[in-house]
Amino acid sequence: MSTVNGKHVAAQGTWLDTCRAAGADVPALCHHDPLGPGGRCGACMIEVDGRMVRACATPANEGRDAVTDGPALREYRRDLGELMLSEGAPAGDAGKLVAAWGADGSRYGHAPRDDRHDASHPAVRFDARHCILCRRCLEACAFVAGEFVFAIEGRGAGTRLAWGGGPLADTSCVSCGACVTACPSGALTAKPGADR
Amino acid sequence: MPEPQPHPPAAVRLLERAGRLVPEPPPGSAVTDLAAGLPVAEVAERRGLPEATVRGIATFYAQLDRRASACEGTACRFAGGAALREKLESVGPVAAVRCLGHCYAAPAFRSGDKVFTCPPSESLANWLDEWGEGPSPMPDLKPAPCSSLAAEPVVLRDVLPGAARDPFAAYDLPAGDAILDAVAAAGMRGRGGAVVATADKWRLARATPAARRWVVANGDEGDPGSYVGRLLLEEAPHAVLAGMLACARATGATRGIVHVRVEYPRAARRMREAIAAAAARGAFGGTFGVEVVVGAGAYVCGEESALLRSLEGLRGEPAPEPPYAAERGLFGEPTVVHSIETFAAVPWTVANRRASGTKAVCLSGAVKRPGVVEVPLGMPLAEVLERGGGGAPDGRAWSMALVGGPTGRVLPASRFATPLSWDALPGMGHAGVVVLDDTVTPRALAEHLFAFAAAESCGACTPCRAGTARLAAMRDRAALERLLGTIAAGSLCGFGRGVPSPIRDLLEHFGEETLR
Repeated sequence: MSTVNGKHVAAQGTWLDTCRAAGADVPALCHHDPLGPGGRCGACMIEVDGRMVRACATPANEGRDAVTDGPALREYRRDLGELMLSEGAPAGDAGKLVAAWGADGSRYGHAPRDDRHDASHPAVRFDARHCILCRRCLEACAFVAGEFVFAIEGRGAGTRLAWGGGPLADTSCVSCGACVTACPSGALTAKPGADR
Repeated sequence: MPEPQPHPPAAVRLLERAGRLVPEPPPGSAVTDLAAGLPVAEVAERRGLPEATVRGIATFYAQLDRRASACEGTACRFAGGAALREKLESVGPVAAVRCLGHCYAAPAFRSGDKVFTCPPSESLANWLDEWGEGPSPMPDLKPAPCSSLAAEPVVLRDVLPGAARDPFAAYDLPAGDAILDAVAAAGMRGRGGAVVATADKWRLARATPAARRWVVANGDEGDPGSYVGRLLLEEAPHAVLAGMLACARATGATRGIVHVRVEYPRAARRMREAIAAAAARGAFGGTFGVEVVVGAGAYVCGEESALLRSLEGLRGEPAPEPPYAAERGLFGEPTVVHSIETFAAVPWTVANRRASGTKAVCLSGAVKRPGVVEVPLGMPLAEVLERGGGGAPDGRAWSMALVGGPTGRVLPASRFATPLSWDALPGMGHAGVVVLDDTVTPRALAEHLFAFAAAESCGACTPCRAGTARLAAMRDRAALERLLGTIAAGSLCGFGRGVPSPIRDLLEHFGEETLR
């Protein structure tokens, strides 16, 4: 057995799985349940035996004590939220999480990484300012639709979600809406009135 | 409890799911196609990949762009790299590269597949002045200088002046079990300070059921201040190949890849010649084949998981570990990855069944005789610099040293008595030393490290991507320390987790001087 916030629980899968089995709420943005760990957003940080680990990508072991809250974690989450606000404007679940962490954009200024906007598609709208590069859309597109509309382009601070050279309407998108459902940050939204 | 199911990296998973990852792809990959100048649409067609994915690959690698490039590594930065760049820009467009592995002759630039450095007999100012008037600059074709302070040199034994061993003798190896036994008895570990014992890694690869296993030599030596990999690839490729063959025998691997950075064209050439020569002699015994794959320019590909994605022809981004490569590596198959230096030490280790007790240390910056020097592990840095490097050049005084590259450690001159070992200096990694004189301020080094981190962050994870981009603007010590903490804790791979290390050292030893 291990413990999560003092509660005994059998270690299972990753620490994210184990925490959830113990009823502990661990935030995760890039993790997408059927698709496995992303390890990219950094939101699912917890402490195991006093050491910070990313819960989604760390296998859980027996005999450990995990906590999902504490001063160091709160400080880390606030700072991560500030970094997210420094490069974009997450909305949706991500936006709520960032606000709940106490991040208000006061630490690192605001220099948007990407401000493209695409409204060409009849059903889906993309606003890059809200994109946190979690890639859930990309994986959902492949798994649900079997399509490869999205890709990641560039590197470092120039990294961005892309779909080839032209407008979103000109891609192989089948308008299934899987990407909109998967998007945790309001970057991909359904157009009002669009039938999904 | 059931073991957690290993997840393959997302990109591979997608390709597998779509049935696009064929078991035996045609020679080369999307990356090699793009490097050969094929247009995105054609590469997508050849490789059965979506065009958007290929565009993503094409925009990840820096060196698909073949302009002349000025080295912005640490040694070049502090040896007049800016003046060299200015000169190059007066002639034509210039790209940046980090680094060319000519740190001992800094500053360096690359044009085509040749690297140029200022001849030691000339001052940089004169060399740059004469450009366009006198004879054209000559490419630097000499191997990196090297020497030994170890009682029995291991890594450099075939490259030191006077070494004259038959290169084919290296391939004379015992059977797989005996090799594994010897490596285990020696307690061998990777020569970058690896935590996992080499024998354990090999056993795991052997024990993992698979149709095929791989041995990969990681020649993505992107760290400024480290060039022993290049020296060995160029001057002792047979030792590296023999180490890979030993690993293949011990693990049952049938395929080998030597990944060579595109910044090291001569190394790729020499390695290909050595492979052909060994194959012609039957040295690989018919059960093992090795090929050279040239990278496309991304520092993060030094990370094991990123390197494997790059070898698969995808964006060279790191993936969460576990699963480790020894279980699930290249194309999802068991893969043993070591550095060039580690493989070069394997044949000696197999023959001697004990730890070498040495480390090849690359010296550059403010020393009279820069070069690779093999030293006993634990020799104080000051002694390495004095005896191996000949001390500080006349009239110059040391201020500090960067040990282990941009994710390594900074030691102020007052701490040069520190022994060079992974115990005494945790985080020193490959232990390459760029020693700086007192004309270089802590702030200048900090700015260089900030710029390096921001330029080479791959962008896959938020803490490293957004965090490294904000380092340079930080002017408050507590705020900078907090940001470093977030980057160190939250980053996906060893690069992001290591970026804070030398900056924290600067703050500890130089305090406010680091900030302005």
